[in-house]
Amino acid sequence: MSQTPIIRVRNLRKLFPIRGGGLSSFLTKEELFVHAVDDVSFDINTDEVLGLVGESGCGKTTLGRLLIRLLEPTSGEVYYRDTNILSLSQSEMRELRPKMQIIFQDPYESLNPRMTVLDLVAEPLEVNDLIENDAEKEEKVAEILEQMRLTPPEEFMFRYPHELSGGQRQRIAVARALIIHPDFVVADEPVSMLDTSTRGEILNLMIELKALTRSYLFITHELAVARHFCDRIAIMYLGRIMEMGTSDEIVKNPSHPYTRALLEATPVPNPKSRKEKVNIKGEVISPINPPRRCRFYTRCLMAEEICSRLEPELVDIGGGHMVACHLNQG
Amino acid sequence: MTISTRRKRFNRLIKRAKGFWGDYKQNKKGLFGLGLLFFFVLFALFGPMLSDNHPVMDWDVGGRRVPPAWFKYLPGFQYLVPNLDPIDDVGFGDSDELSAWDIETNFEDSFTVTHSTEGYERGSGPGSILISLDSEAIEPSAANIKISKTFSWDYSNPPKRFRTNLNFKAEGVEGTSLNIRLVLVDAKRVEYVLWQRDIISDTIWSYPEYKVDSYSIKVKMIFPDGVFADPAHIIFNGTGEYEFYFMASFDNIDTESTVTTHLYVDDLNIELRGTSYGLLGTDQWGRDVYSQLAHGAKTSLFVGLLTAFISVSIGLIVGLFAGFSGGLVDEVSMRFADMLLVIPFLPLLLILIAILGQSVLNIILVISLLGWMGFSRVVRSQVLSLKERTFIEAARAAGGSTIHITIKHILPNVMGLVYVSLATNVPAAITAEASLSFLGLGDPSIMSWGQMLHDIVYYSAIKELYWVIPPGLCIALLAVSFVMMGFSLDEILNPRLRRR
Repeated sequence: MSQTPIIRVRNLRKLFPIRGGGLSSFLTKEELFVHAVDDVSFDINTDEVLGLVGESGCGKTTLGRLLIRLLEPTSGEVYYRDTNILSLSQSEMRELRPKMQIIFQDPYESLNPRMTVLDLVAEPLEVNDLIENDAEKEEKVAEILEQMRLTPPEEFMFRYPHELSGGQRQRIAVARALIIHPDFVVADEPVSMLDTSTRGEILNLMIELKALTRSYLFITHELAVARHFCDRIAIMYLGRIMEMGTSDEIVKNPSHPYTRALLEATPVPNPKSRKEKVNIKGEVISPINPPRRCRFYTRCLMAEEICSRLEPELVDIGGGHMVACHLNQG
Repeated sequence: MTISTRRKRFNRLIKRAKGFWGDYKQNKKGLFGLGLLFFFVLFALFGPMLSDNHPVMDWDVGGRRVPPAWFKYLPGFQYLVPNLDPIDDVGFGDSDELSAWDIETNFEDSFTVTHSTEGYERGSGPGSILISLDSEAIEPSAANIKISKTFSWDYSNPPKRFRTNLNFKAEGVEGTSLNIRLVLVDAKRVEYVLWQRDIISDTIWSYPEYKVDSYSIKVKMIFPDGVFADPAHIIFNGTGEYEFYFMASFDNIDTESTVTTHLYVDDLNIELRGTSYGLLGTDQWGRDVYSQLAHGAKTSLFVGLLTAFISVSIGLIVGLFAGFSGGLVDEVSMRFADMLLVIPFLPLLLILIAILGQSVLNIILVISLLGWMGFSRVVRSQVLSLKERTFIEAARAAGGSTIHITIKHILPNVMGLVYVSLATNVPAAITAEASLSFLGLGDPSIMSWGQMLHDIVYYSAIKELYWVIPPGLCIALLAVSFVMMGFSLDEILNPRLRRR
């Protein structure tokens, strides 16, 4: 965990313009933007799993897509090893694609319904010219399907996605991402659409198959899952990273009020335990042109005057544990 | 492993096809459409074989504008008579064909009638009859020779028309007066001289100066009613034995000379054209309506399928391109499509065909170049929605190029639309071609159903149902068959319409 980071993100920002209805766009000059990812910087080291945790709509998925340039950022830089991938042309980027893969959230949407499992799984190999003939293609696909516990592979190769269960589909999606042994995989809530039993299976498979890749960005909204799977965790709120540190540090020593609220919201599988502490108030504010102050200000029970004036920077409070809160910088 | 898996892949394909057929079988409309189409394809393939007549070039295969032969079984049509051809082969290709004719002369010894290999070049067959008169062996009075054919007319009603044919050449007639004539003798032995000529000098191959035909004014003038007479009606006035003959009379023969007179006769014939013909009757020029219908089926299917294929292909390519690239390409191509869409179709079609020329390829080209816009809009909208699907993003993340994504991911997902659109475009193309032909801008060398309807209107034959109904019905049925198939394909391939 000490070599050069595999991914470095610097001041990444993605704003989605909102177009008003026909007339209003003529009448008003003010431009509205959804600040999906707002000035985010972090590193992902080699052989590391970084968890990205946050609630719905906080920009996790957008950030994941920005990292492998499925979306063009508004500003900022993303380095893969030493290359700034945002400066690459389309064809140069395509050459780099096999190094970076993504597993999508919804296996019902991410597989082309008109392709067989064989073609789906082999697609990354084929478009990157990594195989020579059909025999090699079938061999490689069979191998990864076996690793995915889709046995016997011949049973599955010629099925269509609609002939598979949700868990099987997601395994196909994982197989697709891992078959070319990428350096870096963005796993965008890979288990959130699955039921609990399948979820465990897929997670365990992904842990087992870590050998096929180097690093993960693991996007999830469940801290428990992130803690189980990740080396480090970054907590995101409204497009900004609030806290980042090793999994144990985040769970055992949460320093941001939002992290604490998240931890307390994690359900405990014990019907007798009663949660009474509510240390959060209000609703998430709109991400459209948010005011220049702490994003969490309106919901924070501990907010002070400075929080309404200044946006806190992400500061190291020791041992790589970083927090963006005015109250925890002392 | 590869071989076995390839077989499995093939089996999957078969299974899918069977599944599709299973769905299609359930669909009554689809089966009806498919059956109709199957019928028309068979008709277009084998229909023309059932008739030797060329639909455009073969005039007067029957009486002009006569109903079908089977009409005589209908009440009120008992008077209909068929064609009669007393002579089978008129070419005199070999000496055997002479035996079809009776030859009589009043001076047996002087005439020799043989077969000659020389014949009228533009007639049928290479040979002719050669009549030689040896002047030394004859007395200087009249000598004549008659080549005749007797045939029986078994109908109490006359034929629509009769036609005769003759080509001849005379050599060595100097000093002799020679008269040749064509005569028709009715059942009561009344002779009608249809044509005659005195030949005073040698001739090259010649034929009568007017067509010796019951429609000819010169023939009509033989009769008291003149131009109002119908020779076929007057001559064929009852059942009985009729005779048609060619006669050559020689007079004032110069017995001093040693010249032998030669008279070549070729293509001698009489044809009776009945008042009914074939399966579907004849048109204004005596052409076979059945043959026109069968060849028209070929034209209509060809034009319909090719046009639909071209226009759907153009629509698909433009739609894919516009939808996937978006931005300026999208704007420009879609505005261009809109522009073409708002121009009235038929007037533009008429003008373009008038400028480009009336050929079937031009018609196909113009109809398909004006027929792609609607489909391209449909494809574009489908691509726009597909483009946002996650599996397209997944393909891009896998490293797929735009071309790869378009061909492997977008195209298979719009193919359902393509099949449906093909099926619905065919009848549009067929009716467009029919409209063009109907308005007189069709390809004159090729018969089509639209062309037939055009002829019907042009020659005011709207009331001739035997001629009007077949092309009209065929256009409607072929269009219906494709529309039915389009509907059923839409129901099968578009799951939202599927009834469960």
